[in-house]
Amino acid sequence: MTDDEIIALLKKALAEVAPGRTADFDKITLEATIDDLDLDSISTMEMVGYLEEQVDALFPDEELAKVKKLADLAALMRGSRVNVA
Amino acid sequence: MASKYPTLAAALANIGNDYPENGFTFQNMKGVETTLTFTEIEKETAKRAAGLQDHGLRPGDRLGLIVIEPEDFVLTFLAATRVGVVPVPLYPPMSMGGLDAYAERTAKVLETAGAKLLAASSQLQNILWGLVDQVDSLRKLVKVEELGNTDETPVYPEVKPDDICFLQYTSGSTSDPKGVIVTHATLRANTDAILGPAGLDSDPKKDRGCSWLPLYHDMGLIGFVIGPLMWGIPIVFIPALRFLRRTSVWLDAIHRHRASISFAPPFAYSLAARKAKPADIEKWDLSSMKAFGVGAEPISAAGLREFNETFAPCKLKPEAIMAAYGMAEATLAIGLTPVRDLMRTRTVDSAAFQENGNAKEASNGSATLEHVSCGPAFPEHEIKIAGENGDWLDDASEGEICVRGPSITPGYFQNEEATREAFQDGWLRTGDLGYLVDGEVYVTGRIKDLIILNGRNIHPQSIEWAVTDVDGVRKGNVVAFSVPGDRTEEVVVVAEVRGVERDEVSKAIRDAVHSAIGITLGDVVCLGPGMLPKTSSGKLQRRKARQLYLTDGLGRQGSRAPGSTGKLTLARHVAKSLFTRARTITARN
Repeated sequence: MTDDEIIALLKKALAEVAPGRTADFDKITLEATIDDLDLDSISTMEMVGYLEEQVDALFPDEELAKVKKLADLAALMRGSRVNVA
Repeated sequence: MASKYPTLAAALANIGNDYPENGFTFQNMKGVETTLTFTEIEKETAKRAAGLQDHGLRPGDRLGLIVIEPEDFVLTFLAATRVGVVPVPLYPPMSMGGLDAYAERTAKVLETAGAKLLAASSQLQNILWGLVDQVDSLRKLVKVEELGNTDETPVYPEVKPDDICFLQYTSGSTSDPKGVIVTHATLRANTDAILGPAGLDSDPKKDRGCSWLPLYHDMGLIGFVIGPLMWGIPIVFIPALRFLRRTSVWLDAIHRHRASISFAPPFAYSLAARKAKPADIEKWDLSSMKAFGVGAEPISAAGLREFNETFAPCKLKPEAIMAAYGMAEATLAIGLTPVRDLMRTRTVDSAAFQENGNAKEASNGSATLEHVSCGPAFPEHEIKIAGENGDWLDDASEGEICVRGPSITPGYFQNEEATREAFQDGWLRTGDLGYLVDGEVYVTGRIKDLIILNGRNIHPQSIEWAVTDVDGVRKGNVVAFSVPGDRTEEVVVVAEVRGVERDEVSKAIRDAVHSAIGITLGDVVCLGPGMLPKTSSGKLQRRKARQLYLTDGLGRQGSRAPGSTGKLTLARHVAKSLFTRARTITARN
C-alpha cells in the first residue's frame, strides 16, 4: 500500500468512528500521533477494528502497545512490526 | 442452593465429576472457539500447579500474572489457587502509548504484593523483563505458556476457607496501590449470594454465561470464572479487546450459544445499541437471556431503556436488565435486582434531594432525578446508611452506604492502616453515597466529591453529565468541584474542549448547568485535549484538578509532553469503567 492509500483508508476509518469531524482530519499525515486524533479510547479501538477488517489482518496487541504515530499504524497495515526508536 | 465446596481448590478438584458436560469455551482474537470441560481444566491446572511448584513457589507466595490470552490466564490463575499460591492479576499493556506509566504502576503493585514470580504471556516478555530488576521481591519472569511443561505432579497442601485465595488491586492511586484480600470463604459467600435464589437463581444444567469482561478484575474473574467453577456453570469467554474492536461479537456469541447470563458496565450497553446493524438485529435471538447485569459505574436508566428498545425485536425480555452494585472490598457484589424483576427506578424531587438528601418521590411539576435500585442486601448480609455523625439514617435519607456480612474482605494485604480506616465497628464504610427504600439500595455518588453550595448538596456528576453533551466538549472529560468564593462556595467546571471557540463553549456550559441544575457557575475553564489530570486507571481526578485550579496550575502540568499520552488509553478506559467501583476507600483520606 502506498502512503496515499493508507491515508485515504485512515480517513475512511476516522469518518466511521468520528462522524462529523471530517474537517479535523482533512490534512492528517502519517507523522501525526494517535494523540493528535483526539479520539477517546473506545473510538480508537473501533478505528483499529475497522482498519483490521479493511486490510484483513489482526494487529498483535504487543505491537499495538508500541504505536505512537500513524506511521506506526501504517507499518502494521503493511504487515510489518512497529519499530520503536 | 449453594456450592457444595468450601474452597475454590476443592471445587476445581471435583466439579468435573458433578457436571462432566460443562466447561469453559474460549474464543480467541480471531473468533475461533476452544472448549475445555471442567475435567480437562482439572488436568491442565494440575500440570501448571506442578510447574509453579517447580519454580519454587510455596503456599502463601504471591505470583504476578500478566496474561493476554484468556485461556492461559484462567488456567494459570486457577492452578495457583490449587496449591495455595496467591495470584495477583494485573492488566496487560493494551493500547497505544503509555508504556512508561504502565510499567511504573505495575512495578508498584508487584512490590506492594511482594510477588516472588511473574508469569506473563511470551509476547510480553520484552516489555516486562525490566520489572525483575525494579522489584526487589521478584526473582524471575517466566513464560506462562511453558508452565505446564513438566512431568511432575503437584503436591496439594490443605487449603482452608480462611486462606487468601488471591489479591485484587483496586485502582487506588499509582503511588499507593492497595491489595484487597480475597479469601476462599469470602468468595464462596459472595458467589453463592450472586448465583443463588436471591440473585441469578442459577442452574448449571440450564444456564450458560457469556462474558467479554477482562479477567484480571473482579467482575470478569469472580463473576465468570470463580463463581461458575464453584457451581459448575458453563461459560463462553470473549477477549475484551476483541469486543472493543468488534462490538457485535458479544451479542452474537450470546445468540449462538443460547447464553442466559452476561454482565458489563453501562458503556457496553450504549456501545452495543449504537453499533448494532439491522441485519444483526434481524438475526439475533436474545430470548435465552435472563440476566444482562449492569454495574461498575453509576447506572443511567435512560441508557438501559435504549438498549431494551434496540433489541426488543430480538425477543430480549425487558426484565433481563439487572442493575448491580458492588466493590472489590465486598469481594464483588453488594446488591443486585433479583432475576425476573424489572429494573426499578425512583423519581425523586431534585430540590429536596440536593438540599438535604431527602429522596422523597417527586410531586408534579418539580425538577426530578431518577435513581436505579440495586436490590436488597444478600441473605446474611446487611446494608445500612450512616449519617455524617455516624448515626444510622431512616429510609430515603442519603448517607454513606455501609455493609457487613460474610462477603466482606478481612482487609488490605499488609496494610493495617488502610484496613482500619475502611472499617468501623465491623462495618465496611464504602465511601459511596446512597439511600435505602424498603430495604433496597439506591447508589447516588461518592462522598468525597460532594459539592455543598449554600447548604445544598450537589453531586459533581450531575453537573458533569449536564456539561458532557455540550457541543465542543470532549465527552466524559469534564470535572466539577467547588472552591471558596467571596461569600459562599463557588462551583467551577473544567472541561476539555475541541476547537478554538472557547468563549462560545464556556457560555454553552454555563447555560447547560443553569438549566439542568439551576445553579450559576463561579468559573468555567476550557482546556485542550488531554489536559485534565487523570489517575493511572483513567479516572478524572477532581481533587487534583481543584488543587491545580487553586494554585493556578491547570493546563500547565505538562501532560502533553512529548511521548506521554494525556488521554485515556484503552487500558485506562476499561479500567475507568470497570474499576470505578473499586475506587479507593482511600480516596476519602
